[in-house]
Amino acid sequence: MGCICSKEVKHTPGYEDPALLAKETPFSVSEVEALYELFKKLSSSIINDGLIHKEEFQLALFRNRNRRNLFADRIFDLFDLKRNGVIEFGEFVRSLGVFHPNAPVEDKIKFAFRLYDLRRTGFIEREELKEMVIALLHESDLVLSEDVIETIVDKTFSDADLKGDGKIDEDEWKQFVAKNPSLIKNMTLPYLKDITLAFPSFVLTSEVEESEI
Amino acid sequence: MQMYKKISKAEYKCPHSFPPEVRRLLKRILDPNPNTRISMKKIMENSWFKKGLNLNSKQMKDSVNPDFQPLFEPKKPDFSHASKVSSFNAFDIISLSTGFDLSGLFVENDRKEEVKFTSAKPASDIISKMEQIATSLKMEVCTKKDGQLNLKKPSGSQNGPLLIDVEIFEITSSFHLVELKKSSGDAFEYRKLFNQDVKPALQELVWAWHGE
Repeated sequence: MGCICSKEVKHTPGYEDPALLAKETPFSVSEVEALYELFKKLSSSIINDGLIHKEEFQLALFRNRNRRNLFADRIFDLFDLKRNGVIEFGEFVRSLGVFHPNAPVEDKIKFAFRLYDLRRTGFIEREELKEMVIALLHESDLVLSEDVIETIVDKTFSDADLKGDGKIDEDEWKQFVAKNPSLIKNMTLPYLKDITLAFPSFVLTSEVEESEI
Repeated sequence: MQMYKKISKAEYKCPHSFPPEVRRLLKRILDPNPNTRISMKKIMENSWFKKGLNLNSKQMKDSVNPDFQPLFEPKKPDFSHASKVSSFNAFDIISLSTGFDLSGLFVENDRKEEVKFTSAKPASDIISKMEQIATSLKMEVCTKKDGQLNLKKPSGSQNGPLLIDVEIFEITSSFHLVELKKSSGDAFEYRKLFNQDVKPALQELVWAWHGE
């Protein structure tokens, strides 16, 4: 006999129904529930309030809550859809959905563009690109001379900035990615396909309706 | 939910039409205890299993990885043009940042299946060092194309041989990025091999390990 197993579970602000999230992302309901296990772990690591704060995000990525990183900041900002300084569960799932191997490529391309548009002007300016290259070199202790950096940035810009106006707009970006698909390689996380294997505890706390199998 | 409880207790019913030898085999396969559960090898030795096997055996052999068939020819690999490695544009460089590497949310650093390091050595040095390491670990080396190597280690595990992909990217003529990842095979075996043998042997090439 099927029966609904509903529990009086108190959820955090920003919690959304797994069935709804499954409908709007490439995840199945079980995968959303597994993500909830991950989310609970991440969001309680420093401040136990069911929300992922910037320090908790840094702790998760770098094992160091104080490590500042330009790119992690950009990711955090983009995940924080409501722009309230924290990542809620719904935002977490929807944003990670873009990284799913089955997510539409257009979403990944758009996300990458917004990631690199540091000042959110709607364009990737040459100075932003150079700033990001320098940030990466600094992060990896790689030392390249000013000339070499300029050459790399120049070459990339001339390949991408087809209109020659000193900035890359979204259309130019799309065309650039079409020629260089590896540019959005970091927009896919293969781990997401096996999320239910990584977080099997969902099996015991599942709220999925029990039904005759 | 009920289904998962049944799975963990091995509570199931066979249709009446199942012969006793099938029921016995199923019982050993559906054993919830992985230590006493029947192994792939033993399943394949089972008399009932072998009855239907002949028709499909060729297909099963070929289904491992069709891409690799042509590479295992007894020809000595030619590395002379492998020094032409893919070069990076600014966005490729940026994408190396650990800030983008969200895999840290899911796995510990030493459990990652893809690792990167930068090297100040020329590509030819990197390639010959890889070749050296592979030979000392009894691995077969194949070149897929410029700047890419595949290392193969035959394995007794049911996941098949361990295959490691190595890709070398040129950031500038004096800086290269090397990416190593497991493309197939047992994850545990890969991690053990990498952490105990491959990583220490690579140290002389490494400028910095990514993510550390």
